[in-house]
Amino acid sequence: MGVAMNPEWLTHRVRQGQPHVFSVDIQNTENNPRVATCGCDGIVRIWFLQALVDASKEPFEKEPERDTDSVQMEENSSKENSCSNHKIPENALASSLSYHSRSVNMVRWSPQGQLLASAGDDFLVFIYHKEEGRGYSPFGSNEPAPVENWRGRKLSGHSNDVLGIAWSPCGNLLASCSVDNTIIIWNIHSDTIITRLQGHESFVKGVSFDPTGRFLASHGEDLAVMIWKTSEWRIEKEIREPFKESRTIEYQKSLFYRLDWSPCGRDLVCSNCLAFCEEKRTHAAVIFRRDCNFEKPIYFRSPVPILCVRYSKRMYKCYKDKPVNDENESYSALALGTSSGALLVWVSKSSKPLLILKKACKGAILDISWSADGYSLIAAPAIGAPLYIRFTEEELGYVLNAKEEKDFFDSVRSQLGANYENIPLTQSTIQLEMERLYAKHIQEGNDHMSQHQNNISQELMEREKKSTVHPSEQQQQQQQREYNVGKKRRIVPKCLSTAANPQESIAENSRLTTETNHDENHIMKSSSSNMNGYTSIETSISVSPNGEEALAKRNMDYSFGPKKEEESPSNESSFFLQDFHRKLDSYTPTLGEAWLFHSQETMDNQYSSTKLPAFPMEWSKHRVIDEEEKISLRVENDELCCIRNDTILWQAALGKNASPVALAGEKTTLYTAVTSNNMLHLFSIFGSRLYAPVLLNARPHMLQVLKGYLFVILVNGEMSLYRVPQVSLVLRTSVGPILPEQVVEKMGQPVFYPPLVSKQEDVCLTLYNGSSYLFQKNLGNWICIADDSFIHSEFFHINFNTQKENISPKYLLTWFRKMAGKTTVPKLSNVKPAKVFLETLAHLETMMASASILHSKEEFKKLLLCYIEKLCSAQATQIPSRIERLREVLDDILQGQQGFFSRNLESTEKRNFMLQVLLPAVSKNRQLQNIAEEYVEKIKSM
Amino acid sequence: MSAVEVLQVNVLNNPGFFRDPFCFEITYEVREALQQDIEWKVIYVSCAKDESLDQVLDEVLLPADTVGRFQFTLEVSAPNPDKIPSDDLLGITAVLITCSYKDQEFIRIGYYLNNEYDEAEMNENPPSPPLLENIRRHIFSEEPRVTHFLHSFDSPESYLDENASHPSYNSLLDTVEETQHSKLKNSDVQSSRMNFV
Repeated sequence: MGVAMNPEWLTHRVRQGQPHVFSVDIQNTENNPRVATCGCDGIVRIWFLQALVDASKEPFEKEPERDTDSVQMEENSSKENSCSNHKIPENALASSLSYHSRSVNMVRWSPQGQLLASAGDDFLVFIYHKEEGRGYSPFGSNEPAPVENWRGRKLSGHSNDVLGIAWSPCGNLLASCSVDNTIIIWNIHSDTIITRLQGHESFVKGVSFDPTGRFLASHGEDLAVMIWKTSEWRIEKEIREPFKESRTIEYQKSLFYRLDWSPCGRDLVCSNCLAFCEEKRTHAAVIFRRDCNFEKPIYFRSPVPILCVRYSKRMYKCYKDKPVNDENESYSALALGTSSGALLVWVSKSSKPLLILKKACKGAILDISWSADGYSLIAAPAIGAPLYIRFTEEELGYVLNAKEEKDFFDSVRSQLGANYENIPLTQSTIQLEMERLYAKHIQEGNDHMSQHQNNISQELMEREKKSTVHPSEQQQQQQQREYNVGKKRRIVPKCLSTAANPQESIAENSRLTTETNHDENHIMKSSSSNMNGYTSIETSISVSPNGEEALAKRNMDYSFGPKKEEESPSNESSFFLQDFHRKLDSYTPTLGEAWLFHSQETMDNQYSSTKLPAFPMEWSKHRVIDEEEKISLRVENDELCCIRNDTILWQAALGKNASPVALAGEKTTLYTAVTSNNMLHLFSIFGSRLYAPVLLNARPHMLQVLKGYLFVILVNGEMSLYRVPQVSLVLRTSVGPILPEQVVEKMGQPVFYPPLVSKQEDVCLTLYNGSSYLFQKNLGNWICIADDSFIHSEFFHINFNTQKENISPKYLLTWFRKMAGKTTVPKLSNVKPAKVFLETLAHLETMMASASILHSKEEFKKLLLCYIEKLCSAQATQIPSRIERLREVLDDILQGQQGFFSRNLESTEKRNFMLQVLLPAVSKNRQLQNIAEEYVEKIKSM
Repeated sequence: MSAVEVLQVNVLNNPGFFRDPFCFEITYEVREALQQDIEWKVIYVSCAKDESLDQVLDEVLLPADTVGRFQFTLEVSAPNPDKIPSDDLLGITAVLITCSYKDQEFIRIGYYLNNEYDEAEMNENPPSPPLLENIRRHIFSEEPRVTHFLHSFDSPESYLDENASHPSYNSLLDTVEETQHSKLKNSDVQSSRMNFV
């Protein structure tokens, strides 16, 4: 048999006032759930439900009168439960939180259960999370020391008392409603306001998200229930009719109009309704069905006002071992609390209440909460002790198992057009068409590659979890210190703990958190303390142990360097971005290196002191020019020989005492040699001198002959590009600005990959550290087109080297997918997805700009697609301005003539590119379907 | 929300002698970083009836520019017996610990304390001049009286102004049962001094 009790200790009171509980909520977890309560004393208390279970087992337990079959009202005497249970039992109180400075009106646990939110008359909303360490009870309260350490952070935005809160089913959003007539939607990851809903003409007294996340319902004192569509935060439906009679003083006095959705999301139930039905006025709770477009209300009548309603999160069935079918139908359970303190429990299979407790509580019931297992219930009264009831399976029914429940929810939600994963409905055929296109692209792409991508993001998430590190240990300040400020002593206190980033310390998995503290792979460094002597550190640097390995690998790359250099650069004078990236294939940067490169900003004197290594010795006497045709240059007896297949093509004398220090050539252009007296000799392909010896300003570092160009870098950093064979200088500049600092230490090793020269005669140099720079003549400066700035970008290792021949514009996406699949995430720990996201965006933007400068249209399109995909990803919801950014890009492409994006797309292909590639990518996220649609319409009307 | 909340105060060297310094180990939490230092004061109530005789034993500044939990020990010298009326030297009086920001107090912790000679006979016939070495001081550390005062700290928070609240809502609340919305403020902002027995 079930049990019921009124624990006097589970209350709030101000001084000698009456005990009361304004709101109660049981944590949505089956494993040792907590109960949160609040009241006028400004304190939020967290209890263990187990304490109630234990207390109800005490001898004074009392069986409330109940009748499972009849509607007959029964006098219940459970409140006469006269045991003096005022004292808080040991280990009942998990925490006592005194953040609010006024009454606390509502508490709610997040759907996943790790966070607690509270709203109060001090206009504030707080979100609490659990931390390691000991907790404190409000000082001077004489309460038992709390077992757990919960800490709050505030959300400030309302301009008057906050009466209600609701979590979105995904746990990312929090809605709060206030006497200021507005509802604020908070992003609880950034603690920012996503939007402020204005529509009610009076106090908003209750809010609730539907379990599919598609709607938010709110009930205001203007006697309207508004259904807001969460995809664009506009009013979907305004319900006034059933409440028009409710303008009576007793309803206006009602503090809250708490409303709730059935667990499947089909029914919305509202309290505080004075219905006019069957020619009579009657108090009622009113149920609106989503499948009837929230019309045709169903009334649940009562002789006294119904002040609160709450569905159990579970579904039940009558027969334990039989599957759910027509004979063993599943049903939900709804608890209703009235102003007279009566509690009613109603199950949807029956037209009559399952249970009526006429005197469940002394005062009006303001809030009710069901436990996650579906059998416990707590009702919070305005006066007196709350009511705790534990039902048995026989009484309430058998809770559906997870699969049955999911099947049921799925079937209901599919009828309602909202599926289980909380994805908005398609609203038009355009969206479906776009999605079909996208799916097609994906299928044509490599499936396992995209899966790989998922793995990466999962890996990232994992890492994020792991990187959750408690700073407290490192930051614990030694001892207090003191000194004098004027006449007064100033004491620097001992720091017990500083605020960890709440996102990082979500108490979801505290076990994991403690483990990672000992993770030897992470060497934690705390940055220096501030001038007060205690730390305010948010960032910690972690150095991956793979660093050395990667470095070793890099050193190997260096040893292969010369071989690579033998390969002449691309035959064409035009080039694509991928040519650079191909060279970066084997390059694995490490964080340490990336940081070194960052520090190059500080080098000022590089211009003057640049000292590049001299031209490689092994090429000074012999150098292979063309491997296929076996052409090589060789110095024999002070004479320069050009040899093919061991036969000498031509010979030339270099002059007295002049031994060559550098050789270079290209079989169709010319051959060159630099002698020890810094003279540059130029020879035609047949060995005749083309020009008088040119005196170089210093010894050469690099000597390259490209098709039509001669390229020289001297050890002092001077770079020259000559047009050949009619020798004329194209440009001369210093490579100093782009040199990494430690170039000197890497003496004797090549610094640059062979240069590339564009049609515009701009030179692109790629450093062995992976950074690429372009010298733009008309700008007169080096431009960074690829570097390690965005090391956390998901596209950091993008490889543009896939088989070119397969590209056809039609399969652009497929092709791209392949490449994206090759991306690897740098081996870095401690990187938050949000940071990765931002860096990825920045990286893509830079790459697009680079592609634009390089006139690489294909690349640009691919990058643009990546960029759009990123902007539309679900992760981007954390950036409030993303939709504006997306629109900006799309508008630019569509309308702009000189905009960045439209400039880089052929006007003729724009339309198809948008329709075939970009907009399907947008449609992938159904949250954005109206945008996809809008632009499809725009394009079609053009 | 109070930007700074006192979590715990441990009264050290208690009981002690009259001339011993007061020693409090204070644990506080900074919930919102403040621009300026917070100031702690220890006040000895020399005479319950005459506020002007209160002795400020010490004032110290502490940083509050980092969110977190902090602990320090506040040691202040004993009150000057010359400034205490001879009638009030013995018996029940109080010591107050206050914390203020921008010269405005936001928390006050009061402890009753009792001064008496260790010999009963001397208590009945107190020697004159008093033998300070023999006076024992006992602070009732188990029963702190904590009073919070609303403070705007760095941000002018509008709810401090009672009138900013929706007028009709307040009037409605008045009609609701007294217990439901007896404003914390009313109950908390009592007399700024402790009421003595």
